[in-house]
Amino acid sequence: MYPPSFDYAAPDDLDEALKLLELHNEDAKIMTGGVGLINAMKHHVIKPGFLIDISRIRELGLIGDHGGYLSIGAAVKVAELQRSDLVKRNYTALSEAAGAIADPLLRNMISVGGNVCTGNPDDDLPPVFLSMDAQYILAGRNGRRVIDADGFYLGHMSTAIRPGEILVEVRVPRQTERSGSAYIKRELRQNDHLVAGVAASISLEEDGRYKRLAFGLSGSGNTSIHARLPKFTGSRPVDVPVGDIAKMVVEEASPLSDRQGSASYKRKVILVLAREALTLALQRAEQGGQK
Amino acid sequence: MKISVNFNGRNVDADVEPRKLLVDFIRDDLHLTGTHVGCDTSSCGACTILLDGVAVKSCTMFAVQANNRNITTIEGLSKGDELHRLQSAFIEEGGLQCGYCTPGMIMTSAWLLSNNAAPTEKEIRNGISGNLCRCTGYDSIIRSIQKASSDRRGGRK
Amino acid sequence: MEATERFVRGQGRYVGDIELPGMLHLAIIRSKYARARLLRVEGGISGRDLSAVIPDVGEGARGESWKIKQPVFATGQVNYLGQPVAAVYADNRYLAEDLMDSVDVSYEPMQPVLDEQEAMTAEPIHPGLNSNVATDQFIGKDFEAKDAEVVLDDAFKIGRIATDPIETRGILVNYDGSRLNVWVSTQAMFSIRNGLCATLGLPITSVRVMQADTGGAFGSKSAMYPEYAIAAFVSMKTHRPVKWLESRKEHLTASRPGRGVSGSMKLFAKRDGTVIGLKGEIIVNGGAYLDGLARFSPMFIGMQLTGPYAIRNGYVRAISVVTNTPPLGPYRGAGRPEAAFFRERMMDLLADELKLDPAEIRIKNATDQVFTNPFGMRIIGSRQFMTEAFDSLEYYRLAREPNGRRGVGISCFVLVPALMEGESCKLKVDNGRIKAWLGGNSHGQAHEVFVRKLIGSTLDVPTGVVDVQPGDTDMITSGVGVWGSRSAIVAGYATVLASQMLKEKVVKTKGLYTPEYLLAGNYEAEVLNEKFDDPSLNSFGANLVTVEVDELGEVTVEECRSYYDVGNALNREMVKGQIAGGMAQGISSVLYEGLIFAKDGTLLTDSIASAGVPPARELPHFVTGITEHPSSLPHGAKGVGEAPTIGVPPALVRAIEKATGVRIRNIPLHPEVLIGPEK
Ligand SMILES: Cc1cc2nc3c(=O)[nH]c(=O)nc-3n(C[C@H](O)[C@H](O)[C@H](O)COP(=O)(O)OP(=O)(O)OC[C@H]3O[C@@H](n4cnc5c(N)ncnc54)[C@H](O)[C@@H]3O)c2cc1C
Ligand code: FES
Ligand code: FES
Repeated sequence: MYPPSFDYAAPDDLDEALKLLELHNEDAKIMTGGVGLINAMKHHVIKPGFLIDISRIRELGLIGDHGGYLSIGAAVKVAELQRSDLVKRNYTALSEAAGAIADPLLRNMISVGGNVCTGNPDDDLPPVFLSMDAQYILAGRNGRRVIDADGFYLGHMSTAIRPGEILVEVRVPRQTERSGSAYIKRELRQNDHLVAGVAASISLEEDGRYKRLAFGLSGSGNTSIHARLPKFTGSRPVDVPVGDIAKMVVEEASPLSDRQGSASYKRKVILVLAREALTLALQRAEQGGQK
Repeated sequence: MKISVNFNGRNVDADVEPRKLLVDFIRDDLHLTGTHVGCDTSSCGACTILLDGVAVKSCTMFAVQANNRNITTIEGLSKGDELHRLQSAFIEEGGLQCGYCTPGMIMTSAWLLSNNAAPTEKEIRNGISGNLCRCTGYDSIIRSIQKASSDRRGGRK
Repeated sequence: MEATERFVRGQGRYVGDIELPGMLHLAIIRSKYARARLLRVEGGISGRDLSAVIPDVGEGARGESWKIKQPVFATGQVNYLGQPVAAVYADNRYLAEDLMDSVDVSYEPMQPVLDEQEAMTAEPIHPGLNSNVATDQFIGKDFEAKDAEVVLDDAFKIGRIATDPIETRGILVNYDGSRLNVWVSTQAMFSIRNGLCATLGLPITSVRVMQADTGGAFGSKSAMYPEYAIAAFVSMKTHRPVKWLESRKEHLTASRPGRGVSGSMKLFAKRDGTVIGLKGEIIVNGGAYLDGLARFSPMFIGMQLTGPYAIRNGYVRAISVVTNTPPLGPYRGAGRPEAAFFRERMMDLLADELKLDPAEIRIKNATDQVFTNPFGMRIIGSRQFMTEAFDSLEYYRLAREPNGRRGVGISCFVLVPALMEGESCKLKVDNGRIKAWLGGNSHGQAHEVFVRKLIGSTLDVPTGVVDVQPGDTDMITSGVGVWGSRSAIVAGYATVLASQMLKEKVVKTKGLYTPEYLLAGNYEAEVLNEKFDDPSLNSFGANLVTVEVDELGEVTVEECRSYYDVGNALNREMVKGQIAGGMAQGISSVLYEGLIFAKDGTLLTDSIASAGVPPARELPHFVTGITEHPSSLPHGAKGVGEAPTIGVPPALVRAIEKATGVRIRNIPLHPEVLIGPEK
C-alpha cells in the first residue's frame, strides 16, 4: 500500500533533470504524471531510490502546431490532448485515444510521456502514434535523438529508451488535407485491462484513392502493434471492402487468452473495431480531414 | 523535504517524507479527514481534491508533488456555515447514503461544473466516472449535480 | 448537525478519521497462497502469541461454527489467500508496512480447491477430514409427479462477489487498563462485542463497542474477523490505542465475500403451465471455514425456491462445502438472489417449452391466499400483486415492441426478511428532548429518519425533539444488527413499542398522556421485541429489464424498472434511493462483478475496478416503482433493502437471453458466451 522511502527532485530545467538522471542512473526513475509509478511503487513492484519529477519543466508541457508536424510535450496531460481543438480536428484518433484512457480524473494526471514510455501493450496512445508514423524525441546528456515510434516498442514493458534518456516530445506528421483517423477500444470494465483497441489512420489522394492506410492495435499482443497495409495504396475505397481490410488487420494481432476473453474472441473484437475505425476514418477523410 | 502548499486558501509549510502520499498528508498531518481513501489502485475517487482547480486523485500523488500549488479539499468548499450549492443539492436530492464517496464526488462535480455549467445527463455520467459509489446507483447523484447546475444558472449561490 | 450535512461537509467520523494519542497502526502479514503448509513464521505477532478461534456471530449466526473453526492466525496450514499469518505494528501505517518485511514466513504450496463442485470430489482440504462436504441435508419431501406432462432440468452457477463498500473495514481499539473501548465500522456492534469477548475470553462487561460512521457494508461488516481480535490483543499488550484499516486488496481477499453457489433444478409441470413440483440440489461454497450462515445457506436457498408461486411439492438436497477461499459471508440478499435466479430461470424455461408468455406462466402459478410451501415458508396471495406489477411495469407494451438485438425480461420474487431475534430500542426523555438508541444502526440507510418519524407520530411530538444517538453497546442492553432487509420492520417496531411504553409511563404518573407531560418529565423505556411470524412480512416484488446486445456480446441495459411492495414506506424518497442502489448491484452482479481466481489460487480481480464495481457511465437510469400494502405491524413496514439484488438479475438475464437466443445459466456473464464461435 505504501512505497518504500526514496529521494525526490522536481527540477524546472531539463539539463538539471538529465544531470540527476546521470548521477542516479540505475536507481532513478523519471516521473511525469506519476500514476503508473505510484501504483507500481505502492504494490512494491518497483522500488526506485530516486524520482525525478519532470512535470515542472515548462517546455515539456506544450502542444503546438509546427507546420510540418504536431508537437506534444512529454509532460502534457492526456486530458489536454483530449480537449485540444487542434488535436480533435486534425488528429481525431489521438483525441479519441486520450479520451479512452482510464477515467476523467486520471486523465488529468496521466501524461503523454508516461503513457508512451511504459511499453504496456494495453496503453491507448502508442497505437495511434504508430498508425500516424509519429517520432519520439529523446534527450540525453549528449544531445537528442529522434526515433520512430515504429522502432520504439521492443517487447512487453520494454522500449528503445536508453539509460540516461528522457522522452521530451512526440512529433506527429501533419495530416494532409484528405486524411482521417479514429480510435475505438473495448473494455469490459473501466480501469480494468482492456479487451482490445484499434486505431485507423488514412489519407486519400485527390481522386479518392488510398494514399496511406495504417492501423495501430492495443491489447493485441506482446507490444503495441503497428499494422501497415501498403498493399492497398492506390486502390479505391469502393473496390476494397472495409471487412477485407479488417481481416488483414486481425492477421497482425496475436492476442492472448485471459480474463478479458479468449484469443478467438479478441480477434473477433479486433475485426469489428478495425471495421468501425476504418469506416469512421474514411468518412472523416472524405469530409476533408485537415482544416 | 520542505514544501509550501496553499490549502483551502491557507499557506502551509511542512517538512514531509517524499514517499508520503498527498492524501495521507491531508488526512494525517493537516487533520482534514473529509478526503477519504477507498482503494489502493487509483480506481475509486474517494480521495478527490482540486489541484489548481483541477480534480485529481490525491492517493496517486506524493505530497511533494503539490509543492507551491493550490489545493482545495471538501473542507474548503463551504464558506463557514454556508454550504456550497453542490453540498446543499446533494442533501436535497438525496445524493448520498453512507456518505463515504460523497466528498470526492462533490469535488469532482465542482470541477465538472467549472468547465461546463450545464452538463447533460450523459456528460455527468461520464464526468463522474472516476468516482465510485456503491450505495446510490448514481441517479440521485446525477440529480444533485443537475440541481446545483440549475441553481447556479438561476442565480443561487 | 444532521448526518447528511456532516457527510457533505467532509465531517463524517469514520474509523479512519478517529485519532487517539499514542495510537499504533497494525499491518497484517497474509498468506500468499490459497493453500500451503506453513513451515515457519519468524517475527511479529503470530499464532504462537495468540491462539484463538473466531466465534459464530453476526448475520445468520447459529451460535456455533462448524467443527473446523477459523483461527485468528493460521498455524500449520494456510487455507485461503489473504489469511492472517502474523501481524506487526508501528507508530504510523508507513512504518508498520515497512516492518512487514521483517517477518519471515515460509510456505510449501499445495494445490488449492477453489470451486464448490470441485470440492465435492476433491481430496479434503483440512487434514483429518474425510470429505469437503460440511452439511448435506434434504428439505421438503420426496414425491413422484405422476401427473407431470413436462419435466425440465437445468443447472446454474453464481460466482463469488466481493461486497466492496467504498469504505473498507476498520477498527480502533483502546485498552484503558480495565476495558476495551472499540470504534468500528460495522452493521452489528453487538456481534463485534460478543465476538471479541468470545475470541479473547473476556467477560461481556469488559468490552464497549461504538459504531463509527460506517461507509457501507452490504453484508461483510456484521461478522467477527481475525483482525479485530489482533487489534484488541495488541492494545491489551501495549496499553496503547491500536488502529487497523483494511486496504482494498485485503478486502478482496480477506473480507467475507458473498454468493458462490451451484444449483441444479428439476421442474415438473402440466402442459397448461401449472407447476406441480420441483426438485433441486444446492451446493454452497462455504470457504475455508464455515460459520452458521454458510452452513444454513443451502437450506435457506432451498426453502425459497418456490418464491411467490403455489408449488406444492418440493424436495431439495442442500449441501455446503469447504474450499480454499475466504469464508463465505452474506452479500446483499444472502441466499435470496440465488433462490430467485434458479427458480426464475426455470420459469422462463417452462414458458419457452410451452410457448407461453413468461408473465402468463407466472400469474398462472401465483397464489390466491396464504400458502405454505413444502419447506414451511408462508406467503400471502401473490396473484393480484403480479397482475398489477406486469401492468405497472408496462411489460405487455414493451414485450410487443420489435426487438432485433433487443430483449425484455421480467422476474417475480418474494423477499423474506431476516426477523430472527428482533431488535432493540431505548428512549430517554430528559430536558425536553428524546434520545433514542438502537441495537443496530445505519451504515447508509439513515435509520434516524424513520426513528424520528415513528417517535413523532406515536408520541405526537415534533420530530425535531428526537436525537438519534450513535450506536454504543454501553448505552443499550442488547441488540442485533442491520441486515436482511430487517431494520424498518424490527427496529421500527421496537421504536413504536418503546414509544408506547413511554406513553404508558406518562399515563401512570400523570393520569393521562400529553406530549407536554412527556417532554416536561424524565422517562426511560427500553425494549427488545419478540420474534415475528406473519406471512404478510414476506413481501412481493417484480422487475423488468430491457437490453440491447451488440455483435460482440456487449450488453447495454436500457430500462431497469421495479415494482416492489414496500409496505408502509416510512420515507418514499429514501426507499427509492435504496432501490436504485440495489438495482445497480443487481445489474453489476450479472454484467461486471466477480472474484476470479486462477487455478493456482491467485486472485485475478485484485482491484475494485476489476472486481467490477461499476461507474456511472456503465449504468442506466432506474425507474423505481413501489406500491404500499402495509404489513400487519402497527407501523405497516415491510422490507426492501435486498429486493433489487434478488429481482434484477433474473430479469436482466432473461432480457439478454431474448436478445441473443443464448440460454444463460451462469453469472457473472462474459460477452463471449453471447456470440457464436469465430467464423
Ligand atoms: C487505474 C488505472 C487505469 C489506467 N487506464 C489506462 C487506460 O485506460 N489506457 C491507458 O493507456 N493507460 C491506462 N493506465 C496506464 C497509464 O496510462 C500508465 O501507467 C502511464 O504510464 C501513466 O502515465 P504517467 O504520466 O502517470 O506515468 P509515470 O508514472 O510518470 O511514468 C510511467 C513510466 O514511464 C516512465 N516515464 C514517464 N515519463 C517519461 C519520460 N518523459 N521519459 C522517459 N520515461 C518516462 C517512468 O519512468 C515510468 O516507468 C491506467 C493506469 C491506472 C493506474
Ligand atoms: S483512494 Fe481510491 S482513487 Fe484514491
Ligand atoms: S453514498 Fe455510500 S458510497 Fe456513495
